[in-house]
Amino acid sequence: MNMKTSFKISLCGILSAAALISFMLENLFPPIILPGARLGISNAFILLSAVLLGGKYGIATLIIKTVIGSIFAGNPSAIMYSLPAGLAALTLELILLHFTSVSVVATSVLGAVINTTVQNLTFCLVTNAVEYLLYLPYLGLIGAVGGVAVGLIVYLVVKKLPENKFINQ
Amino acid sequence: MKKSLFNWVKNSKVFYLKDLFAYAVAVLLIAVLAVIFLILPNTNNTSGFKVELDGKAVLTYSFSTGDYEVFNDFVNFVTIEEVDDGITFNVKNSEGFNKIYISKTEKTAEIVDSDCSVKKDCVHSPKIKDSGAIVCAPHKLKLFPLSDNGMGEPITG
Repeated sequence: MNMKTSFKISLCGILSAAALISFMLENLFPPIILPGARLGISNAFILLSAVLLGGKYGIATLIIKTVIGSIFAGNPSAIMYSLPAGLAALTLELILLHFTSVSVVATSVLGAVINTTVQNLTFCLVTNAVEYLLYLPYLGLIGAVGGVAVGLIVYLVVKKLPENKFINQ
Repeated sequence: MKKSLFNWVKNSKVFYLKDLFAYAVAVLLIAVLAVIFLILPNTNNTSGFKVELDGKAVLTYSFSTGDYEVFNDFVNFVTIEEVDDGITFNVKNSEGFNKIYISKTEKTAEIVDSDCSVKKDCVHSPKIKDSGAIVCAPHKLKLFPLSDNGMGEPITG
């Protein structure tokens, strides 16, 4: 294992821990208006991991945060609908960032809306609660607001970071 | 494909004209969801509420008769308390408990207490009336309105 790889794994671990902590802290507050509605600030660390270290590290951060976070929150069944949603959103974000010149903020907004949509559709499928779909448009709107916040955080953090030869090269 | 996302984001702007397409797609998606799930469904006035655990009917409450029915398999798991303007059902099983309150005057239902998870999404869910549902995913419990048709009637399978 060369220094570049060990550096990336260490940074991925730190970002995963930060994502997990922010996820748990956000869970302590009641949801915004509707059940499941949150800004999803922990997603900033996932997107940051993908931008700084590359797609596979971003996916690793996502899996660590979702699996351990759901268990810590006392709701392991959430993995069933959170993980596919997170993977769909992150895949879309990576495609947009790699192949288009759309800003990281717009990428994050679109990712957040996709995340919310996939998560709720999967949730309704798993729990057989079609009535829950009534909340989907509202959750999409709240997700979009969260996407702006996440995109701006990633944009501002990356702007402030110094050039580093180990990062994403 | 960009070689370094870090360098690209570092040298990028916060807004590009192309962003409008991404925002338009997001708005369009939310609008389509709103049309499908908010405008098209026909919802009737609720005639009562039903509670299910893991897809199995636990109890029903009817506003027209003012009666409730607890199904046989769950008789030992439900305690009932009648108050002036409503009725409280405490549904308890091996997973934990959910305290459900149905208001006879407002014709609404809500989960007022639970030991399900840290987040307690079900307890923070808004009251339901003619449509929607409250789901407690950790306990596999679902509370929803009963009506003749529309989104109030669940699809079970």
